[in-house]
Amino acid sequence: MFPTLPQTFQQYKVPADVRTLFELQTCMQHGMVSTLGDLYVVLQGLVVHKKEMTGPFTAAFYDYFLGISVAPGQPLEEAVQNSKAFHSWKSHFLETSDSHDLALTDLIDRFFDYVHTTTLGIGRTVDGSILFDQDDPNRVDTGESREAPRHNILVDYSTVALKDLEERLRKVAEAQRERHSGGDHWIGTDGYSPFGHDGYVQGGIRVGGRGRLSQARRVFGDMTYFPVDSDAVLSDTSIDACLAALQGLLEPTSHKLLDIDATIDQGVRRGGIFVPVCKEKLENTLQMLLFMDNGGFSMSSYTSVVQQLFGRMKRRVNGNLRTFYFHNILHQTVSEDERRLQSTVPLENLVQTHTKDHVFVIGDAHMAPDELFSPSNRESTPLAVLKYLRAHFPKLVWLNPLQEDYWQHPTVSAIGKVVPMFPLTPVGIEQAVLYLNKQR
Amino acid sequence: MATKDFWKGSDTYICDPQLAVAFQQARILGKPLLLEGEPGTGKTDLAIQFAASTGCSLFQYPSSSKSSLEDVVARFDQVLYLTDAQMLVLRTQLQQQGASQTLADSPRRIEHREDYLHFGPLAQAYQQKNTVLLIDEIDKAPRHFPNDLLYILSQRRYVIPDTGTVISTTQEDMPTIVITSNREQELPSAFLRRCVYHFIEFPSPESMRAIVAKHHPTVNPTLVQSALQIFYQLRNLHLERLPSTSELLEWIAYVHTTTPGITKKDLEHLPGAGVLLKSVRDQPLRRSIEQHGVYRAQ
Repeated sequence: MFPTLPQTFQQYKVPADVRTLFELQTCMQHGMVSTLGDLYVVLQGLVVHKKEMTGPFTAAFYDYFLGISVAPGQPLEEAVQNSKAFHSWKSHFLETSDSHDLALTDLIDRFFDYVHTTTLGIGRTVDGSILFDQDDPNRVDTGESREAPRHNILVDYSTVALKDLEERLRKVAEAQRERHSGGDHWIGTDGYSPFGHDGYVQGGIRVGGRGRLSQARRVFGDMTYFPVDSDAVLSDTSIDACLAALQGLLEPTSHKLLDIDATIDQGVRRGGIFVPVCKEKLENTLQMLLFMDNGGFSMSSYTSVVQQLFGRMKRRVNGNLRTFYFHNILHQTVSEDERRLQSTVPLENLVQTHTKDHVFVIGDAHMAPDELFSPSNRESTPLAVLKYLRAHFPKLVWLNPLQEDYWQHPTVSAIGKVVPMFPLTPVGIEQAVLYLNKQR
Repeated sequence: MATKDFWKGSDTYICDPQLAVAFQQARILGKPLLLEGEPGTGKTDLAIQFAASTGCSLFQYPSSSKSSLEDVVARFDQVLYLTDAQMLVLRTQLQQQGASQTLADSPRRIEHREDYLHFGPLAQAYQQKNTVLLIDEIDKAPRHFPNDLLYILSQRRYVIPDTGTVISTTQEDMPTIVITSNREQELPSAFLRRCVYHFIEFPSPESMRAIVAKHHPTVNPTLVQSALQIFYQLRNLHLERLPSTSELLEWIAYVHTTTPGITKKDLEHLPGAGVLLKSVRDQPLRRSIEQHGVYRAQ
């Protein structure tokens, strides 16, 4: 069944494969799928493993099952409106239904309701005409009602004539004074009356709201569902993704060690019965050194967001972080002062005390070739300084905010040959972290 | 998992229909259900309430920064084993010397290495039928922990290296497994693939009202109404750290005890804001709220 489904879904970067099909089949054998809406919910459970993936999944689902493809940034409504599936549904709907004067947006709403009607989570369907006849049309509004919604029933009012419903709606609307939720009489939310929105009702009259079943629109309209572009350079929007990538850094934690001295000592006291004594071995927590290029116009937009990223990292993992600043390229000294005027520290000192640290150099590596290749006021060139650092810090990476297309520049490529360079993006940071974790 | 009936919540647990579907899928497929969502959305409660309402026995494992596969499956007590071995030697020596006083017999036998196993929650859940296993806050565990669980979760079988004891179950009898995460770190994708995933949305104002009513039935409804409006407005301001359900409940309790007759206008200045706003970065905003009220704060 659906042999080409994995292929289509993978085009949307939704991880579906042949195992998904087997699992889907198992779910179907247990009677979980009887409508298209059920299929949406069940498939979602199988392949969506992150909240952000819901958007791409919905797009893939609409493409595969309805032939509706949504262009990036295009609202779902618009894509639906121009689709073949919608038109064939519309002509069928207009033939069989007596509501001919619906606006296009209402029609689209009806279409979504049709696609996403699910029988799951609903225990039984109740005939609405019984409830409707039992309900007292002249009830007086005594105040806000907050009846707890009873889940898992669905009330079907489609057997009640539309004009009776409309007449009752007029009556109820006149009597109603407050907002209501969860009941079966007033116009409100979450309930079983035929009026209102977000209720557990079929064939009622929607007043306000957007309907409970139309998940697709909610998903497409909600910014939190849009995946952060994992190739976008670090910014306020991608900082969380970058942080997640950065947290992959292996954190040395405590291990038990055999305390040989104490074991022998206590064993002798016990007359030769040796019971191993363990002691906690507490290694230092994550140590990080951050060298940041904060000179020049090209780097200024990244400085604060990089500081924020590493600051949050430090708080999360209880690590140590020292930040140093440089301009364009590391010379023999770096400065702890953002203006690079005072508290300069020779790199030699850091090398002696911080060899096991994770070292991040952040800069665009873009400068006049002369600055990199010619010796500065002392003997060694900055490139030689870099080689020296690389040799003494096994865990050193360079993160570059510049787009990779520009890495052809002579100074960038020269530096990239000496130290491992990664883009300053969620994906780049993840690669850098994988690289760092391999270094011992 | 003898019973595979569709579970849709109980009297004490309101189960969102979508969550019910994901949970059902997980049980049918014999896969763990991975729940994510903000604190206070009832992630942990699902397993507890499910076990209570169906009468299954529940095994809980709270993850920590030191979690390991040994904790959750089985640990061989090497120290106890060595102590018993030494005791055996000592006992024989005493007997040989004809001492009248001998050491008490150990309930364990050195030949039976299994006697020295401490079974963790996962092994216990696998060894019985109709069980629920809850692995709480897996994102707090070290990264290798979810990776170590892969084999035992997908193959339903594990051999304890120290004793060769096999712990296994079948797809039919697989315990109902619920894993929760606050997403403090990304879980490995191989692990995600073996789970059914569901994200629990933050409660809507309507459901929140029901939650508050359950916890504070005596609080004045007007106070609850204004507190809820202010709370959701607060969550719309771009805070570093969003206040959660439990903090709202604490705040309402605090306001109710100190100034039960407070007007909405005074409440807008967030008396007792320390319960709600807990990040250093939110402090400038807090000062602004205290001065101008929650609707005019910048």
